[in-house]
Amino acid sequence: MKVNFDWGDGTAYSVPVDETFSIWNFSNYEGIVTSQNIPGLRESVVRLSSKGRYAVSFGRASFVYQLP
Amino acid sequence: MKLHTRVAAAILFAHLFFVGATLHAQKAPAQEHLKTFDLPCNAKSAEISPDEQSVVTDCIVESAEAHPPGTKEIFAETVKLWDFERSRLIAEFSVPRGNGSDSEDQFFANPQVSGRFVRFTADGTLVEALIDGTVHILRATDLAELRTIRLAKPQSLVQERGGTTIVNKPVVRAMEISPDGKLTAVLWLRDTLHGSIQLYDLSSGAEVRDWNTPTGWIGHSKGFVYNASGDLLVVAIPNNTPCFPPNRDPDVFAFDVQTGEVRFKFARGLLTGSVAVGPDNSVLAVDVNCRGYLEIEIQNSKYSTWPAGKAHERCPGEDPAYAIWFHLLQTEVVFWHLQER
Repeated sequence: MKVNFDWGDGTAYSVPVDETFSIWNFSNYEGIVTSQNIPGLRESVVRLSSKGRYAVSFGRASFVYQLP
Repeated sequence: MKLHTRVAAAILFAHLFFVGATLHAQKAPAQEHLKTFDLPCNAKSAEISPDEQSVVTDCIVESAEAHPPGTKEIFAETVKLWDFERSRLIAEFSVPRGNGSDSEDQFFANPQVSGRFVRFTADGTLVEALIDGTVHILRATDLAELRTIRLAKPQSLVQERGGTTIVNKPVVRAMEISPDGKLTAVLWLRDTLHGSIQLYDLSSGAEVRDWNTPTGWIGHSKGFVYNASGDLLVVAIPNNTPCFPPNRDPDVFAFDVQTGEVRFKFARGLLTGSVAVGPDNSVLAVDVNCRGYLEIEIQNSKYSTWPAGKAHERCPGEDPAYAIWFHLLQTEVVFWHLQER
């Protein structure tokens, strides 16, 4: 997200430039992966599968993702 | 990475707010192009099966059924089971149309309707689909309907404003199945500040318990989760509305499933709108304020002190039992642990 400024009304607003999700290991907090840009992800929900091999997003961006 | 650690891996739905590639590269996990599989529609809800072989979706699509000119389009709702790697439809359940005044009338108006939820039981034998106030319990192999549970809608809240009577009809915000597959919990929004939770016995369909949530901006909550043992339901209830500063009121509540009583409550100085619970009862709390970034906390009941002051000064890896902070450009991800209350 980048911040743009509206000089007309003197307010700042945010503009998305990328939509990704990231996965961390809950045991040691190490990062695992950040996804590619997924248009529509901000208006979607992401859930992880029970064994952690896949993630699914639904809403504007409806996909299953194979995780590393 | 071992599977059990990946099970515990927290998916942090971090919409990364990139302002510079260099900083991102230092802080976020490495970006990769993940292999993706299409879902058949813009699903309203979806979940991957416990064996990770299939995905169940709930979709609302325009019906092929003809409608007379001048009348509203007709929409059809279906629950589908997909072998996503092979793009193969395994089974389909067509949701019966609602009728009567309780129906959300989803087939004749804007198809964007309130919460629909599909979930597998943990053993993978059943699929539960909550649609239009009815829970359809389906056999996971072929989506044959085994039984239904009609939810008991909470009483509408009535308000008087400026001489006008406003009736707030309750809507479902979330549904989750207990880890043992015996109970279904439903979170209702009665209005922006008031919610209630109902528990249903999945085998009998009987409502076994219900209680109101503490007053708070639950209309901005994303829902609730069971802990791993299924004895707690953890709910995020923001203590202010987004874009206003959070106050000191608790915004994470853990309810005892057996009694409906609050067993834990936390005040974190965030506008917590979403939670997840790890296998060790750690709680991730996600800030939903509109400051242009995202904060995530983990709280754990094993540890005895809150970090005083700004935990943001602590660094990743310094003490995982105490506080860890990532600053992903304008995205903040905070992991904290909390005391036994």
